[in-house]
Amino acid sequence: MTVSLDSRSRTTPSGPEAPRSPGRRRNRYDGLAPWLFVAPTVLGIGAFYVWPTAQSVYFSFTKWGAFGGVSWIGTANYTRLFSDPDLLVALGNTVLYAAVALAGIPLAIWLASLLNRPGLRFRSFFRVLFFLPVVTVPAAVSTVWKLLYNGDYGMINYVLSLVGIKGPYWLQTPVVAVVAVGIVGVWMSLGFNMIILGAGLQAISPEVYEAAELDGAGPFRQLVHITIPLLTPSIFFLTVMTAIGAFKVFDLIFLMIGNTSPVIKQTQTLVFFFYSKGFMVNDKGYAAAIGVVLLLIIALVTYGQFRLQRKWVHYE
Amino acid sequence: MTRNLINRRTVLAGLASSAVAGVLAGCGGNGGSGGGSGGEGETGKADLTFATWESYTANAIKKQLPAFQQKFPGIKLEVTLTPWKDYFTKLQTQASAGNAPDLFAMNGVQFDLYASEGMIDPIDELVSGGQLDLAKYPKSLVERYVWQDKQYGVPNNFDSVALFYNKSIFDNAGQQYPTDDWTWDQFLRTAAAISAKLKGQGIYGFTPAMGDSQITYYNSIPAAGGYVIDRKQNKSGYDRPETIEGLKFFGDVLNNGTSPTIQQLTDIPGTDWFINGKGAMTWAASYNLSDLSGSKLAKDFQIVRLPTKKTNQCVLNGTTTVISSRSKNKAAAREVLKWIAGPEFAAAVAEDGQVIPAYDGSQGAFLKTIPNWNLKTFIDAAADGYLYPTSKNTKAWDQLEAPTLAPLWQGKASADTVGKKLAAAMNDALAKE
Repeated sequence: MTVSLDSRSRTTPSGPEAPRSPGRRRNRYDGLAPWLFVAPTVLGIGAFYVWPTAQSVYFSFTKWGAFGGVSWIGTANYTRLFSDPDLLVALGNTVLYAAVALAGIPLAIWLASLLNRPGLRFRSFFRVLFFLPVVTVPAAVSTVWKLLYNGDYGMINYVLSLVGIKGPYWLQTPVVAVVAVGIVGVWMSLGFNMIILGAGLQAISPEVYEAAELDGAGPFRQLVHITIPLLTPSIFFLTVMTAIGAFKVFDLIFLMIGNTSPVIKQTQTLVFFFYSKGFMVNDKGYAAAIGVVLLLIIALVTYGQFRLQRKWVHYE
Repeated sequence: MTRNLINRRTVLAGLASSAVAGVLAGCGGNGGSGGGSGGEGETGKADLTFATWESYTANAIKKQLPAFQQKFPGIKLEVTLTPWKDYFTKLQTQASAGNAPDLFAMNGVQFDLYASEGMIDPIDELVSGGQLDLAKYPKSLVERYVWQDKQYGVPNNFDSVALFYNKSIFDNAGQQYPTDDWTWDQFLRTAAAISAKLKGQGIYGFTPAMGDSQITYYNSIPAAGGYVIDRKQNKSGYDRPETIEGLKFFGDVLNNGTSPTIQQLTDIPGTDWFINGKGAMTWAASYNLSDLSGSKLAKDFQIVRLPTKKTNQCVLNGTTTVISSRSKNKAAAREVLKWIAGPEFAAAVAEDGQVIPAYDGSQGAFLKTIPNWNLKTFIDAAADGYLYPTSKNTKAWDQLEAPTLAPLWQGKASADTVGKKLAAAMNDALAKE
């Protein structure tokens, strides 16, 4: 459809039958339009993110009755929290889980660069294969891995027994359980990480590699001196996202170790600690304080990562 | 953008838009004031909601609703079934926000909390008006649903605990079958003998479901003459020598090779060991019946009373139906409550064979649901059962049990040490009620 200049000028959105308005009024209209465009997002973030966060901060200074009925108790929740030995245990477990999760990133780099080899056959098939865990329901993933990790009948311990190692009761041994759940977390996020890194790899021009090859660099030197440095923006993005995600881990712990396990106290993460106080014991004010502390920890960790990126991330 | 897909700005934008932490979204804070703000509504026309964790209750409603609606065509009933694990978490959140269902299933553990906070309405007018006959229900359970001399519900069903054994494993091990009057010593000796003989095949004499207090130490404690909480519901009994003896019973079997270790029993719950023919004996409640009767080996199973120390009392718990104090249609809700408490409904539940209906004389159908199993054991055990221990805020201390007792199950601490520690923590929690 062709549109003549004429008809376009007639449909300018300046109100019905408005004459060409003087500059000032059009400016005021122009000033409102962008706000209207961002309004849905602003309202959404305000209602579902900013407001609940503000409420959580407020609740962390209160005590809750069994069915609501909030009363202000000042910083009592915080003083109790900082003398609660469970907090340190939960924090330690969370850091351990995050360490395992971050250790999955080099693995993702290696696999992504393998998948990115020129001339690889069945590439989309492999991509789908690696991406499947990402779109699988955590409950299903947990059920399957629980079977694999089973101490007496699990496949992992069976394979270990073939080479003469007696595997532990993976999910019933403190420390080991957190690492075991962390491995599942890595397995679940591998696909997503590879997609991000794959996009980064695509953006590296083949000429760089050709030049390196002419200068006699082997595949390993190419990886260390070209691929990784040029991937650092993607890697940085993933480390930040992984750290944030790891600090918020709950579902895998809840599903694989569960709240009836005798070792749950020694294997709980911060969010599970929050859940047990907030919903199992119904101590919601205390739980809100845990939530606020978690928010501060994540903010600090993320800030630290942004400070560090200047040292190792190369933007072209 | 040039060749590089990810540059500094996109990283920043991506991060800014990803939520960093969403914590406790506010639940409407209009709860806690206590007292109903609901209304009577009209009996003739109401859309009611009902929540339960019991599939058999939901099934019975489905079966019986048409008959009920012939009498009350204007009453619609929408049933929500929530798994037991999450039921009370969800209900408490709903009630806090002021939108609990009109009627909901309630157990002894949570009853005092809901009654004391004014979340549910008494049903005294139904009793005094002769519409509900309390004599038709087990007395101890009727009293369970009284708060400050007001009746809030009648028992719909109850759960008792019994000893299950696998005849073919006993035959293999050459041991005498258990009887109703077994002592603890006989039980422990036999279990240890079976384990010693069959451990090579991965079979143990006793596989308790340690993740569930109701079918483990909540029974050995009263049997030894102890108690979890005193009659006034304000003092822990965990530091009493008899209670400690009840805990020691399980501490011993888990650590002397009679049972699998606590790690094995957490990987696979004790009930599942038994169901799969890897356990000669287990303790189980009537609510485990559907799982147990679903076993391929069900024909080898039989039921007797728990073994006796001072008594052979088991723990007795049950379910009732209560009306939310915020319901807008209390008149209609009372009709539904009466119907669920009635004999026809109890008969429908009995036929499901998963739970013992409380209405007097309705247990006959329950006894026939699993042929060859001596289901009457559950009814006998309920007759002198020990009421499930509760207080006004049971959850505040029963969440302490598992982690505090864990070192005993793991063999790292004595029953005496964990018992005294648990009593101290529990008394702290009780003092806050």
